[in-house]
Amino acid sequence: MTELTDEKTTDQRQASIADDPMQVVQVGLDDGYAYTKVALPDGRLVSVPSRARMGAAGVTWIRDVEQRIFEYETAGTVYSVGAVDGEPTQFDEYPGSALNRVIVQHALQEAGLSGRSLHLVTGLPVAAFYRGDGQQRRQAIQTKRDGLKLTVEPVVAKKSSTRQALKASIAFHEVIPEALAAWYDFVIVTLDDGVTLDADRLNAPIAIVDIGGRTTDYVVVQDQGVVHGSSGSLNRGMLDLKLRVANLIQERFDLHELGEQIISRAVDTNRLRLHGKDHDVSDMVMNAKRELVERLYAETRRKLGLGVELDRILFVGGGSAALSSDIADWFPNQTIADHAAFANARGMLKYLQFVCDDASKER
Amino acid sequence: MASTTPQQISVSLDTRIPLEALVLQRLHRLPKDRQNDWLRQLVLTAFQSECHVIKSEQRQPAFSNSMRKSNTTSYMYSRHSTPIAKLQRAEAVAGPPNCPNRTELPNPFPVNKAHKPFTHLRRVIGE
Repeated sequence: MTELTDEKTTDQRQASIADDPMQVVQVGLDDGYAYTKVALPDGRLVSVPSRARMGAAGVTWIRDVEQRIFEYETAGTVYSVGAVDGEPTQFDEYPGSALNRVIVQHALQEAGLSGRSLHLVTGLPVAAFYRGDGQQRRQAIQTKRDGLKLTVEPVVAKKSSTRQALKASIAFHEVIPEALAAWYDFVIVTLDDGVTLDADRLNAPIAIVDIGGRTTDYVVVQDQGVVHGSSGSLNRGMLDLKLRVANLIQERFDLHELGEQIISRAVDTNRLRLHGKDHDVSDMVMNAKRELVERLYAETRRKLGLGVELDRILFVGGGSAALSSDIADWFPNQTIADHAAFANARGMLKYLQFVCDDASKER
Repeated sequence: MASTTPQQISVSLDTRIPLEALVLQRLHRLPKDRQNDWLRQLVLTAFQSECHVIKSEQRQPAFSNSMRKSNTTSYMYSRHSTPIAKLQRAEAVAGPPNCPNRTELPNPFPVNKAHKPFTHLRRVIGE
């Protein structure tokens, strides 16, 4: 069961954007609590774990290609990003935090955008974007918008003369609700020779269920408007599953502490390696998964009822892919999006390319 | 073709050809009861477009072939945000259409690189 692997989803890892390097690049970026996903106009989709910690890596890499921990400096503090035991991202201020900023910069670097100027659309969970009455939380949106525009400099080891790492600069940044981004992905259809609006999808009442790392978002769209009564966020996601497995492992093996990476691996592979020996933890993963699925099911029923008035219920997010067999029979009119983990990032890119106004004001 | 009864045609699409694969993909995304109607519109739209091309080649060689009115439910634009054609929802089609006259063609969209085709969808997010 893998929400997303740590690797890119395409094998064109270092493929450059075949443009003039001075040209602005449009990017859809879903900076989730568990994974940060990037969608690029050339069709590439890139994902990195949202994993970083304060402080230098303390590792000297003999060969550049082996480097798996990268350092970034922002606001006078150095962070290590990549193959580290990351600090928890599940806190309310994460979207505007320095931790978020360095992880986003790392994702942009991994997407081959070193030294480029970017126009970017990102998201906030539905409940962080809207108040209960449907009004936008302008302060939170502005904080997020400003946060990512602060400078993050890649720290390049002095020995490493071959690696060029220039910061990716964000010239324009718009923020939209996360699950609603997937709706834009759903209704705006790109073809080889252009882009269309699918009129059937546009006008149909639809619910988007976005199972993410920290939150599960619900958005109901009807007549091209958000139905706020049925929309919102539940503070449950795939990171809760990892936390629960970590607790069960600590209990069974009488451990005080375990690294975040080893827990992540145990959830993905059902195996835990301790003292050079593998242990089967599939029962713990299964139990934790069942608890999460039951909680998600209850909330989904509460929000959407039986879904009889909806034409479609679209599941997106890394959690939808990871739990696909567990959520398969919730509604007769449900679908799991293609590459569900990237539905928001794709929608953010489409919003930037075809909807929002980034030409007249770079803010 | 004077018969008033519906005629069925059968076409095999090759999924190795990207455009044909896209047609199949699009078709399968639709609810079953709308698939035939969508296919009918697709055929008629393509035929109408062909008529436009023939007419423009005969009468207006310099007229841009890329700006055409068609019957479909979508709006299509180029990848680079330059509009190709504004396409309108089809009304019921009673029979095979005649080739439309030159005067029936719509005014082309102004070419504006900065224009984004679906700006009206910003309203969905609200204020």
